[in-house]
Amino acid sequence: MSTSGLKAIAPVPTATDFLDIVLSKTQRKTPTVIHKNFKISRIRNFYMRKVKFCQDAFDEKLSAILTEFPVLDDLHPFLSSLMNVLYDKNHYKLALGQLRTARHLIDQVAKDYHRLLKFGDSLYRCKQLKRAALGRMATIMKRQKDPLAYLEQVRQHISRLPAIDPNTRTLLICGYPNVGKSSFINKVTRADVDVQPYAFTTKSLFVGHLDYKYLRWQVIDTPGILDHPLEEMNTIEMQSITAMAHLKSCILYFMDLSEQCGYSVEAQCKLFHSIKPLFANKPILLVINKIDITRLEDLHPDSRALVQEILDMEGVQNVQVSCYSEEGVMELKNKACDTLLAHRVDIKIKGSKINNVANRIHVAQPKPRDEVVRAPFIPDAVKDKKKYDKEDPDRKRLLRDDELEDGGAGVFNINLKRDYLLANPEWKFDIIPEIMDGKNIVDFVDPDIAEKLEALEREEERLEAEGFYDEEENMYASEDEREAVEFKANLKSKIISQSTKKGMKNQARLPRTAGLRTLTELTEELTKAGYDPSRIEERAAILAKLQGAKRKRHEEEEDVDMEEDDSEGEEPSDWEDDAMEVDAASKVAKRQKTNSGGVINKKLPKTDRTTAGLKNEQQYDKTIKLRNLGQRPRNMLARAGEGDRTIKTKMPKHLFAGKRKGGKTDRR
Amino acid sequence: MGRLRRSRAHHARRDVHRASRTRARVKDLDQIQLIDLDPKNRAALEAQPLDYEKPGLAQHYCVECAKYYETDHALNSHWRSKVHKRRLKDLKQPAYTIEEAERAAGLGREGKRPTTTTVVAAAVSEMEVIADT
Amino acid sequence: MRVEKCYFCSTNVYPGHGSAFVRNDAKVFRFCTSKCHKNFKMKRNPRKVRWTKAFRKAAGKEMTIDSTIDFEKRRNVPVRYDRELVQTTIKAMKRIAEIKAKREKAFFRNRMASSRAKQIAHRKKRLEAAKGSFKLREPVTKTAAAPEKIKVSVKSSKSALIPGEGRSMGMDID
Repeated sequence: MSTSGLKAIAPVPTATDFLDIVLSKTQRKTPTVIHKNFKISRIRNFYMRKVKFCQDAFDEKLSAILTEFPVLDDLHPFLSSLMNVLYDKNHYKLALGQLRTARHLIDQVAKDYHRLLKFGDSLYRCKQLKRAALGRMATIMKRQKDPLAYLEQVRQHISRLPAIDPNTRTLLICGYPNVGKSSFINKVTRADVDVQPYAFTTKSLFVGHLDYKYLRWQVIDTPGILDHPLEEMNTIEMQSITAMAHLKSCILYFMDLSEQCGYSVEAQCKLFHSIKPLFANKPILLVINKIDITRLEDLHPDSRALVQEILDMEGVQNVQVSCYSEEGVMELKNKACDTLLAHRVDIKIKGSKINNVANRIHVAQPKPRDEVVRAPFIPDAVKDKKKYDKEDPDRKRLLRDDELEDGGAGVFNINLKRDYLLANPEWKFDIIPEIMDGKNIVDFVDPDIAEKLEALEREEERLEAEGFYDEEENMYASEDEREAVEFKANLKSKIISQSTKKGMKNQARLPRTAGLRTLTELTEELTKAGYDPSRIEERAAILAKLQGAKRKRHEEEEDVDMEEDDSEGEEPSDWEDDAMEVDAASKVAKRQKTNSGGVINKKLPKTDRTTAGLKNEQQYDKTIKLRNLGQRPRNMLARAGEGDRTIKTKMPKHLFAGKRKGGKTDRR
Repeated sequence: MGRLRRSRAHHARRDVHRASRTRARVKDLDQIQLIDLDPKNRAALEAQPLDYEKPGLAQHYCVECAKYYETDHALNSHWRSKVHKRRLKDLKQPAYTIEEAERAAGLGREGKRPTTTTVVAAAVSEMEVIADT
Repeated sequence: MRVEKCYFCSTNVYPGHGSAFVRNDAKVFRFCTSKCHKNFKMKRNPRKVRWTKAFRKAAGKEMTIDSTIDFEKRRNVPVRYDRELVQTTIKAMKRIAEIKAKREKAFFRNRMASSRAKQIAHRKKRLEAAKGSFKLREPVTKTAAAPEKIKVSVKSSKSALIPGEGRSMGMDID
């Protein structure tokens, strides 16, 4: 909170903080990379910029402080003298002056070194000049330690001053210490001033506000004052004096006739007389407090005469109150406010400004121009309109009713098609087709499409008649030729389609039969071409016979082998019973073949490793079960197995981002 | 510390990916043909106010190539260059537009908006008139 | 929702397919495939790329002037929905497509007319050349009966694949 006229001031850093702020700002906000092989002009500019920037930063910060602190001469006289009392005008001005000088000096230093840097001939020299410049600026700033510290204190104190508006309606409470000033302000306003039974409980000005006649009133509680010359008064008393001297207010002079405060009635009267000059042109209320103990009537005649003397003075009114029993407190408040209001109005009317305002006031009264009565017009429709009633069965149907019917809020969805304006309302909820045969229907929609189509049909008929669509003369000399050409074209397309199909597969694999031709195919084509295939057929028959005989012989031999094998295998070993039982081998009559018809001659391994080391089938089943269980988490992560590695980040940022110059990306 | 490498050692190196970034996009031919080459807009583009963000404070601008130059000299030499002449040749043909793509697909358009074709045709006829007089 | 046209090759781009580039003047460039998008990024002129529709139209390989073409149009005039109108439109669309296909076929034939004589001559020449290399014979009627099928009885044998005694997948230890 701050007083009006004293704005909030930004904190003032200490000298060291100040330096840190400015130098780090310079470091942060100016370029940092420089090489000695740069052009000298670039190097110079680099350092000149640093110096200049540093100076600017100092300048900016110092100027901010200088502008933010108020100039005492520009303030309201009350604030100005209050600040003088609290902070000492000379000290204050001196501190600001010193900062101003420092700013000037820093500017000068920067200017000098800026000039010198223009002649720097190497990076080293330029750097030294910059260092010197910043160093000198820093030294100047370090010397401003005391003014900065002082200003920071002032700032903190100002921020804690009560918000006293020097121009508003004010009740000013004053008097000897301990006469009940603070008790009164606590009674009439919401202020919470400390009240204690000793002198100088209140050490500074306090402000409370009250409302009276719809206006806001400011009540100022001042510290007590003693009756001694102005020069001997301390800071606390001086605050009261400034408030009394400079604020246009209603003075409430508090007196304690019971002398409980420790000061005699005589002394209190004397004080009134000595500070009377400050009350010139202000309404004064002499408040006699603590009437629950001593009233004016009860007083000793001598003292009473003294009080009466004050009361007899012009413009002094008397009120008796007791803050303890709250007797007369409200009356005092009302009286004080009324008096002040009257006083202010008096002053305003006496002043010259009132004429300007009074001339402007004019109240216009309309006059009837003729005898015609002009009543307001209300349309019949509005008059007949029935008031909406929820209970009424033939009430107007609202969208709200629809909502309730269709599932209520959150479920119901407004169908915007409801409000379509179409030639036939039945069409409203049609599902409008959008796309047909790869075309947008909208692109064809045209009000006169029928006529256009008609025209097109007529054109079509004309073209037909003209023979536009007639097939041209035959391209081929004979039917054979056409057949041949078509066959060729078909073959070509077949080859192309097959090659594309093959290309789609990821492997180059032909079935065994791909290259084979059957005998019938061969003979057919040969006959077609005009050759006699009979010899080839004969030879094929002989070959087939030979092949058949050979196979037969081979099979017989193999059977013998197998029988021998069986006889060998019949010798059972001792542990045969323990061994895992395998399905009794069913003798298969047919020779095993691959899908393409090739005979498999491969021998199987003698043992099955998957079952090695297992007792029986149950054990085998169990192992399978356990294995599947163990793989479950990996399967859930969609991994093939534990060896299946994942790469979390395909392109780690630190390996791919950043600068590409001066070094390779793989050296990081 | 050795010499610092230039960022682009080969001026003719073309990097389509880099050039096609949206932040590196320049005006397309159809935009230039339809808007920039219009005498009114052209005058505005050639006399731009000082702009500290643009090269050469936006004082030397080639409208056809949509490019700023640092100096008058650079602009003049650009006008004599092959790049610029090639661009002029490109601009003589009507630029390819979305409308043309749709027309090629059999989808016409209704309206009287100027297209690149009409604009170029108008420019050509104007040139002929000038040549005749 | 509508079927858009690819900026580069002018094919259909169905809703939810392809990609789009929006230029800073709010023009939307749609692409059917990444191929078209890449070609666009290379600043190629579709009129000069042979596989695009724009090339074919510009080079006179397809019908450009015809009364059927005027039917499909982006009309920037909103028309209120009318069930009858849409019905006639859909019927008309089918008919128009029919006529268009017919005319395109005729166009192709006309386009190819100039080269027809050349083609015939070429083929004739080829046939003449082929005649020289072999003699044509009269096809022979098949006299020999179909080759008799020789039946060879296959003796049942045990397969090596099927586990049996002695070679079973037992618990043998090697």
